Amino acid sequence: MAVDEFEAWSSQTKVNLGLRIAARRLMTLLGPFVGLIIVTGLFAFLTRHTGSFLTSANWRTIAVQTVIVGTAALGMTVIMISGGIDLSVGSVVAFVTVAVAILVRDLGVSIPLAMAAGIVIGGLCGLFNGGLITGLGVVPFIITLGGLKIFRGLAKWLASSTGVYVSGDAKPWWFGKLLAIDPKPEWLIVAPGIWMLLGLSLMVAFGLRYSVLGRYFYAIGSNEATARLCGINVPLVKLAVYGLAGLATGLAGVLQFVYLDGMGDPVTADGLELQVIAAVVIGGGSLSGGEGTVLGTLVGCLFMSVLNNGCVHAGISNASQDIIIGAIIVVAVALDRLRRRGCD
Amino acid sequence: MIDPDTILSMKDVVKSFGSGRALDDVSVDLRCGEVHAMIGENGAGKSTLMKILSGAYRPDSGAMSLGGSRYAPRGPREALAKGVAMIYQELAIAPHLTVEANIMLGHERSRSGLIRRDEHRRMVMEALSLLDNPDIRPEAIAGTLSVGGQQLVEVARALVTNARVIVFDEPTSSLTERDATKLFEVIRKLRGKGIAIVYISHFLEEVRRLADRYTVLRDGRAVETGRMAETNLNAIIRAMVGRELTELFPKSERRPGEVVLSVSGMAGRVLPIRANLEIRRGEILGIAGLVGAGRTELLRSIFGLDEVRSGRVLVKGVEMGRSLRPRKRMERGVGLLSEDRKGEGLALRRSIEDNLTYPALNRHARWGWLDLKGRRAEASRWMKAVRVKSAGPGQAVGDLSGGNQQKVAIARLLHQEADVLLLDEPTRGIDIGSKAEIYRMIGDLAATGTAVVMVSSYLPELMGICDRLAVMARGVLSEARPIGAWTEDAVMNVATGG
Repeated sequence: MAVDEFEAWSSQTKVNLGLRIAARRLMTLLGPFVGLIIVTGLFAFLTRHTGSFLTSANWRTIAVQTVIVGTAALGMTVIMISGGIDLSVGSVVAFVTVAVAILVRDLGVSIPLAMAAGIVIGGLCGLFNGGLITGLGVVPFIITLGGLKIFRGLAKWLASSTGVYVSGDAKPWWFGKLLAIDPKPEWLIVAPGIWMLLGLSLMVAFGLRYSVLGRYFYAIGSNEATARLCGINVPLVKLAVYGLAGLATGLAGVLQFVYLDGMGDPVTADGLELQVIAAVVIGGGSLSGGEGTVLGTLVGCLFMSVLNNGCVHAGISNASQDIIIGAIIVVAVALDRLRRRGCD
Repeated sequence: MIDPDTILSMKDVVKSFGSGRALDDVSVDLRCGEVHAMIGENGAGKSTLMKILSGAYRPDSGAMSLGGSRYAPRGPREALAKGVAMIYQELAIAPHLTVEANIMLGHERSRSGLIRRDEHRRMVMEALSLLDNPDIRPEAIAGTLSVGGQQLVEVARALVTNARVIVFDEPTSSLTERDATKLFEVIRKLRGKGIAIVYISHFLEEVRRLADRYTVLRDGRAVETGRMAETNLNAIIRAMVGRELTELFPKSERRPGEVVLSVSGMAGRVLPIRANLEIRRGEILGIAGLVGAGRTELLRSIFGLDEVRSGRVLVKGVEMGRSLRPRKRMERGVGLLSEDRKGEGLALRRSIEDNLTYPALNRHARWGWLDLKGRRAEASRWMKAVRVKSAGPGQAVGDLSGGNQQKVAIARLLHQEADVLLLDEPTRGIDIGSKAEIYRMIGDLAATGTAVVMVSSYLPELMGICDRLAVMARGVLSEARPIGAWTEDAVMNVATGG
């Protein structure tokens, strides 16, 4: 083929292919949004007599309920992009609440410092998982399943299996406001914790797109053999993945500590990891790695919160709630697979 | 007027995807007891044709008839029931099951829910007797057979369903020479039984040896049909690419410079057993040999991807040590092109630009943050240089054709600034037009002082573009001799340990 012929070919097909790719990207991005809108519409309809669902107070509540899951889900997004999974999230969150509470109550550490330490402890838990995964070469599912039991056990052992309470004097003035549904000052509109989550999300999204490390996460998740072939230090990058995600989980733990009004609870956040994984998957993440976006994850989290909250407002029983949520997760992922088949 | 021997005919078949016509008025007749080769570049419409035959796609217009009656299968299962069997490139074998279970998979004979073992055994033995291969016993575990053996199991599966038409899609692309020869014998026997064989392959020499008739597809049209005996390779190639390929193997002007890679006493955990080689700037060293002889393992050991037991690797005079870190080699200018493009070579879901820049991503970054615009510009430049046909640098690499994927993989090595290239089967599974471009690229690179080690199972291309050639046989690499000192027979002799 002559060069000019080639150029002609490119410019002609570029338009077609370009459009198709753009459409596909839009689909991937819009999918979760559409789901969210449908669910919102549905609950608005179901609660049209009471009108309690579509109020600004209720949406501020939903937002607060999303903060902890959302923070943990940011970490999970990164892990799942790189082809891994973390089942220990709930246990780490509980462990962190206990550790922070013990630091304050028994060691006299100030709350801000103890909260910072909580984040670091989360990071260390992540490094522990990541180290075992790369060091032993065992799949993340098994290692973090072990982590799920180990960290839960550690939390119970540290707390002697009961709640660890922090005295009211130790709490700084802003402590209760972090996750307050009606924030003060009012111009904040939503709780400071939500702004924190949004800021963190921006950072993670930016990092995934613009940093070398972010590209490596996607590379490893998409095809680990390729990453190795390209000279990427796969074990080190994986360690970074679990370490960084651990920091997010640690932060989620600290927020949980705040949410529990300064209590370390060794049995809290039971099953949180499943909620988090579901949120990531609904947001377009894939269990086989290489896919997932921060925006999608956030929408996925919101979706889950709206579902939980809406069921309550619509007066749906707890038992039915579980069934509905389970069914919706399955449908969402099935739809996602269908969409993907369209791509291949 | 239909030829009485015609078992299956396709008439004026049209199939469009979006605005493009994948098949445009294609008419093909298959006769009983013939091997009919389907030849064409990637994207010419061969696989669409296959999928229409197997019922995976329905044609937009046109008709098919099988044995005189209308044939419009609604899926592979119905096609099989009517006697049209497919043997795909990717094997459909359950590796943990026995040969017998695999052969009967999907059409088990049972009585009140229980499998009729005697009936099974009888049918399987009958099918296997035709294959005449002592390795394939009914009770053997399918996963323990060679790829060639597994393929024969699939043939047996087609036989027990009394297939009248069997379609082979690139059957030899991952077979050893010996397994391929065995497969050809089997195909000839099937032909003798009156079965019509459709044979799709990139290997023109092999098609020429095997086929009675051929149809060349180009851009979705059947441009030429004829008897194999009445044509020659050049005519077929001309029909395939629509132009003269006067110089498939362009000779470039090159002069060997200093030694850049020397490997001595290389022994891996299993393979290779012993290998020494030396290559200079501006040289193309070919490594021939059978699949499984240890050629891939040799390249991977040199690159630091596979563990080694002993051996020294010197790149531009610096000892590389035994660390399993390709990074160190890459910094010295070594680049490896994987033989397994989809499994290892490329991250298919990621974009072209991502795939192209992974090894040298840091070059586009400051403090770990990427300059995406600059990266896109450079990726575009390389894509243009190797003439990747795509919608743009952001397109997923998995959407490209095989030839274009391979160009991306090669562009990656260039972007990485590698000047010692280890190319493992660089033209496997890609169309002849892309092959010619890749030969030209390799020649041009060598002309500018790059050293190229090229492993290939396709001897004519090694003979065509290499300066020197070494042969790997059972893990041992022969001495490299100038290409003029080799003949194809001599290479095969060494490769088979004769």
